[in-house]
Amino acid sequence: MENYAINTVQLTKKFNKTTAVNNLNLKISHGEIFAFLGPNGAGKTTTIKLLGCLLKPTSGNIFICGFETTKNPIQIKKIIGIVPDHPFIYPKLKGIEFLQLVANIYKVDSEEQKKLIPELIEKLEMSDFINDLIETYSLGMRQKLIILSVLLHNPKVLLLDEPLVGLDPKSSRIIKNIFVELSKKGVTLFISTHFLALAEELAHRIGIINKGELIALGTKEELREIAKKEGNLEEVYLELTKEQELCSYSE
Amino acid sequence: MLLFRVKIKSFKNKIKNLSFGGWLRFLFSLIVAVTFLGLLYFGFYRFFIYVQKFQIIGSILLLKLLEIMFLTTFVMVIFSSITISFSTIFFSDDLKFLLLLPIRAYRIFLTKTFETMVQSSWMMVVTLLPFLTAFAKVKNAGIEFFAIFSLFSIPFLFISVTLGILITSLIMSVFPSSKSRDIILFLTVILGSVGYVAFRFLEPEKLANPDRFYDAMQYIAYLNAPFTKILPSWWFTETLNSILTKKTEIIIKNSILFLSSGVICLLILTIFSEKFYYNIITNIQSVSVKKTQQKKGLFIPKISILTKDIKIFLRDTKQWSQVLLVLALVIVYLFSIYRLPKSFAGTNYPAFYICNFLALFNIAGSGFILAALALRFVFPQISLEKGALWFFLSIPEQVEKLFVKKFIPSFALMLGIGLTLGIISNFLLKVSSYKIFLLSSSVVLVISFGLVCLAGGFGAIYPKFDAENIAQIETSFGGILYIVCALTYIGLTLSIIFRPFLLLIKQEMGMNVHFKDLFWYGIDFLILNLIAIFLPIYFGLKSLKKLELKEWGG
Repeated sequence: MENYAINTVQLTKKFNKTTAVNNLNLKISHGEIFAFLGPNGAGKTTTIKLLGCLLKPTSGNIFICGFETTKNPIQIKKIIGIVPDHPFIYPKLKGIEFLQLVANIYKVDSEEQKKLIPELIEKLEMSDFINDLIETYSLGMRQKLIILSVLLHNPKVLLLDEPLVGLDPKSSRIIKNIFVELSKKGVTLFISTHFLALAEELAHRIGIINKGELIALGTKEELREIAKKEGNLEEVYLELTKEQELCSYSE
Repeated sequence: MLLFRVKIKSFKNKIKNLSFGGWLRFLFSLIVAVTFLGLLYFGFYRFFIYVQKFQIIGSILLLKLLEIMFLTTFVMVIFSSITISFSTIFFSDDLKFLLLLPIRAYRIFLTKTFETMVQSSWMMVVTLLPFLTAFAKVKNAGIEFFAIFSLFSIPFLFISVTLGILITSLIMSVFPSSKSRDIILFLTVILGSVGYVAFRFLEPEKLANPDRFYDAMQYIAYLNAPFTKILPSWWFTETLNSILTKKTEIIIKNSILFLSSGVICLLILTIFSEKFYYNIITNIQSVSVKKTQQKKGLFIPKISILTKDIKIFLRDTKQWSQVLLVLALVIVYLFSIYRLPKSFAGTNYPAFYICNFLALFNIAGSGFILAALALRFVFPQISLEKGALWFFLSIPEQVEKLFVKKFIPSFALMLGIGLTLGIISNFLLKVSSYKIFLLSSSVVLVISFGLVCLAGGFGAIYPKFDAENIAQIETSFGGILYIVCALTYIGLTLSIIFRPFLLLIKQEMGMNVHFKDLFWYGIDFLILNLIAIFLPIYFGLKSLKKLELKEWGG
């Protein structure tokens, strides 16, 4: 189990009568960038919340770096970082205070904080607004703040729900470079996104989920083979999700 | 009408999707509310019967009480609509969507006015019902009394809400930024609090005492005169009284007054919204992106889960206004306690007995204030994490540790207030026996601790993450359940310590007293507090451990 950064075994999550995730089996290695694609309401965000111990599975198991989510949530929370879609952060805190709060929660050494925080602020070009209250931030600024905050405690696994939402092209490029650097250092990135270009550019492997079921899994080339379609990821994705729609329609 | 239909549809969907547990909660809230209103009715009825018996002035006094009740409702609804209309009319979540629709400004504004009217007045109307029912019963009024009340209350509340909304709109047009708005609100609350304290220091209860007037005619003339004839509260009082005295011409006169004023208010709101609403909204949105001046260099402050809430609390000027109100409440309570022994002057009881016995009453009074404070400041703590719940749940710490860290500031605050109330109020009461002083103050301190645990626990068991403001959290199922339990807890505490109190007073008066029985009272007190402290915390923690994040935004 410890060979994988993320390992889900027959993972199922139901909300009353609705099955949000059904029998999901994923094995994601250390240092892998895994893109998780799917239409709206397919179960991507639910999967991220399950992996982040924010939801409890109805059945099945989740192992993060060998720790099971239901048995060792605290251990897991220490080694992961979560970036939500459209994050809400305490509006009456300043950006710098939020970073210090996160560093404090994850017990980052104060000397390390003094070195790391300014370095990351510089890297993400946030020094112009880091002393402002978060309530004055735009969506993109908040997104950068959250991404910066999850890097403070050197996580082994990053769970990212639409990480580039609201970012300008330059900031997107900086963030993408950071993702690649982290992956090289052995950090696993689980990215749920609708930006197919992001998946195409960064992901080592891609999973496509629809109506809670994993309908395709593999590298870009493997997905092209499954879809029997040449061309970019967008065409492959549309072909695979279309097939699934047809199957459910005929059923 | 389309916007009203959306609200009605949303409400219907909420009812349709209510789970079995939801229905049970609803039923329980209903039973609690009906019991509470029944008790209020019973209290008012007994009081009115007592007042009615006074020769000559009895009926006039009742009418005066009715006018005071309507005047209070009128003013309270104005204040309430000022605070509520900020979130319903100018900062509502659905406003960005609504303003994109091809709908005239006045339609959105009037729908929001209706929403404000419901939110700001329902509680006052519900409280009025037992008062009016008791009044009608004492006066043998028929069904027409309630029919006229239902009919006239609509323009009455509408006029009141219109005034509140116009004040808010004025503030928003002059100060569109949230900071300026908060400062204005803060100043309003300061003035309100100072006014409240000053009013209490004038001891208005003396006016109801005939001895204060030179002769009976002067007193009756005072009672007969309305506070002001131009206020709708007087029109309402006069109309309901006219039903009893069968003066149709007054009913017709006041109907015309209500109708014409209601139409004028509607016209003012329509014209105002068409001319200024969009401009105000545009101004609000353009100033909300303004930032503070950039500081040179980077200073990394120290902040933890413990200090985060204090920092947020101190930066939120809306919270300061609440603190001021608390301060005003405590000052007024202490002043009332200070005056209380004097109201027994002339009775046959010895001063020693009164002062020491009032220390028991002080426990109930302080307990009630502390219960209300815990409902306002402690109970909503978990619910207020709503948007940042994802962050709270992803913190790698045991729920127990998080819970303690989250509630330490509340514990400190409540214990501080408990200690202040317990000690200062006993000083003001001039409690002469040090044993009674110690017992009364310690019980207040223990109660304040118990109430924080009750409020914190219930807040965690019944969080309300979809609330738009604190008032909605306080009046939620969990809030009602907490206040019922808190009052029961205070009641049980009083019933347990009543006997030890009496024994201590007797001992101070030189009587022979056996203290053997006190042991069992001590055990009862201990068991009660163990239940009040540990049960809510245990179930609160259990509920927090089960908590799941449905939406990123809570």
